[in-house]
Amino acid sequence: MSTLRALALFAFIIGVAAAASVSPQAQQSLTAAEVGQIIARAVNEAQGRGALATIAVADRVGNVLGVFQMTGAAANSTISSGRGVAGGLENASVPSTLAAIAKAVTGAYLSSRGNAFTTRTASQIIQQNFNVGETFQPGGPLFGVQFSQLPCSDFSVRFFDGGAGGLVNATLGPKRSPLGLAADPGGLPLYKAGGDLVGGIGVISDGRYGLDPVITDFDIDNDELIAIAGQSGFGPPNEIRANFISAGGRTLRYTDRGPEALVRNPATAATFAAINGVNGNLANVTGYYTAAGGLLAGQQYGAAASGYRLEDGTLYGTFRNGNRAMILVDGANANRFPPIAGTDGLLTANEVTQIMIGALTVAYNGRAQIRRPLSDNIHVTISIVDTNGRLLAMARTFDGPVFGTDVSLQKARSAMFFSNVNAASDLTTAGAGARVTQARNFFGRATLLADGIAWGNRSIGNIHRPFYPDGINGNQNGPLSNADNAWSPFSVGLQLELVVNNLTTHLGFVAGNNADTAARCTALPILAATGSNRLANGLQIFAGGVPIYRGNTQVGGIGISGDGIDQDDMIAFLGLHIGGVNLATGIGNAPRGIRADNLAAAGVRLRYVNCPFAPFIDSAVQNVCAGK
Amino acid sequence: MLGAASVIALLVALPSSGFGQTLSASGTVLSGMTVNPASAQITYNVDLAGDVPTATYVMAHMPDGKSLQRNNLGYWLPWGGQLDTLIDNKFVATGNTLTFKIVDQDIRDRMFPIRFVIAYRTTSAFKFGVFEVSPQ
Repeated sequence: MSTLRALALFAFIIGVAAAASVSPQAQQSLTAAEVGQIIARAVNEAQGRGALATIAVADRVGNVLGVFQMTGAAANSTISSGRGVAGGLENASVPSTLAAIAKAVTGAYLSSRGNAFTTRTASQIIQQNFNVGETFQPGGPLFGVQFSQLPCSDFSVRFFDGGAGGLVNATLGPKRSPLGLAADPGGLPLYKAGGDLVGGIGVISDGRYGLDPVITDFDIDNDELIAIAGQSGFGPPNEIRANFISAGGRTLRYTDRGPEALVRNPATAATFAAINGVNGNLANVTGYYTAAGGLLAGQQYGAAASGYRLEDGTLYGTFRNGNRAMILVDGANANRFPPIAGTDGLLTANEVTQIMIGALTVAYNGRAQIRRPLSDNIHVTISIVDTNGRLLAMARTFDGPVFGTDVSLQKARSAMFFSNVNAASDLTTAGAGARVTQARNFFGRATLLADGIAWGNRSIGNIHRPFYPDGINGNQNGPLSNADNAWSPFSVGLQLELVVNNLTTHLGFVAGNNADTAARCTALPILAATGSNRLANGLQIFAGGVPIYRGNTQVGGIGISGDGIDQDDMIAFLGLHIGGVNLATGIGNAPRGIRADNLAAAGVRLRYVNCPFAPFIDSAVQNVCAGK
Repeated sequence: MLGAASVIALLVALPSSGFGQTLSASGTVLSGMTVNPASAQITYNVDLAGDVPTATYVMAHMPDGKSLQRNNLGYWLPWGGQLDTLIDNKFVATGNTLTFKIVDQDIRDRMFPIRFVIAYRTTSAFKFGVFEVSPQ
């Protein structure tokens, strides 16, 4: 596309007329008393079902507000997909408290004021076919997202026991999740009147941390129903529930049953004071929650103490409808990630700023896929990194789901990493040399991952699926994935192999056996410039990130997360393009000749990005990524 | 962009860590430690294994997004990640042991864990190690 047309597109999409959408406003939060009420109602339902449950409540940014373990509840739960697979995390025993926390965090992190998703929704979107059981359909749109918000992440905030009120970490989010994101039913979001997302509830009572392998039925799942009872009075508006939202032509699943299936009336539940110490107790969870502190109030999302607030407009300006970007802040209310120059000397702070503005512009003008109302703009988090993996800037639209914060950084780093000529040697140092060899043999290319090919996150995902091409059941696996008979969402291949030692160390820490994992995922080589490695919050394997180039030279990566994957791809690709056009310094997408979609294996070409057909609100512009 | 420097407290006799550990060109993962944030006292001893440092460096990377380096006066300055902009802290070895004096101050206003990088140059190499500090 010529410069003039690019500028015209940019001007057009920032000049579109306003339309109805979710607006930023003061958010509500959970009180400690409400946390108690939620737990008590869940316990009430568990008693009615003869179940012994562990229940956790978290706020929107992942602070654990309470963990209650009913007397006699199983101390541990077993990770199991039910696919009869061994390896990875399959059959691992984990504390039930961690399972409950992961579910609560998932319910909170996947949701927003425009969409209410549950762990059952997560189950639907991470499996080998979408929907599971439908052969010859691509894998779930967020395939791999379960390995995000990891306890080893250098980005996610850590809770330190005894730190409540004493350390700035205490209230700031996004907090890490002990097991990443959960797909086991029993994690639901929590809302207050007016549609404010205030947190999530997670329940485990059956001793199994798994997923729903059969979507054609409607389970009577104790974990889910106990959570529904706890959610009573804090449910989402009906119109934003997952079952009113579609992706890839399929309606998403919220829960299998509703309040009509409860065996007890939540309103008749005893108070928390009446059950605490009688039917169970608050439980200490090292690294997540201190029982001695009692039930905690949640943080108000958008207030500085939550770690998220609106930027005042001086850094990124304003966007469609006068909207401003949201930034992440530290304990002093300062921007944690303002635009900075690359540690490798390849991007200036101004270039980073302009790329971010380009991406935010596309987001605020783009039509959302996975939220309501239908006319709402896209809500995402945007991360920009240098070639050392250093985060150069992070910003978001105001209602992006919190999970996208960590995932956007994963995507930016992953696209950068795979496009870096050091990728093969780094992976080999980290013990993944066999995967490098498999990938090279797969493409018949001896220099793969050392030859400067530009990989989008979609491209990485293409070869990290149990079938190649994705979804063609019976085909061989992509070289980074386990084969189908050894694959499950808990045993995926390279993505987990890179972090499994971190997870194991973290479980030992929670058990009191050893120090915590470093805030540095993977065993990739450590760089002197950062004191860390290039994938320090883990690899991500679904679409939404591209490397950044200056001419033929890679200078970084950009990652997007929070809406549909085509929307994420578009914001990364087009946003980078627009930023580059405005800069006129050679910054932009990788030259077409070196993109991974020039590679083919088994006669099938990889994909680089895929953008929505007619992506902008109140605009007829089509094919906006074509030719760039 | 560089911001204003922040002053660290006077150094006192400090509990230390790292005896027997060496730095390396590929980066050594050093033992971590916990501190009382209200009065954090951090030093790190490394075994030079015969190396003769010509310059010594200390850097810090924090979850609040900031990267800093320590100068020879004990001031912490914003650092952009380029090795050629590092400031020599002028630590002197005692025999084969090099002691890095890092922090002696209240750091309760910082996010944790803090990732420290200690490093030295020789005539032929740049060697470094990384360790994390968490609150007690």
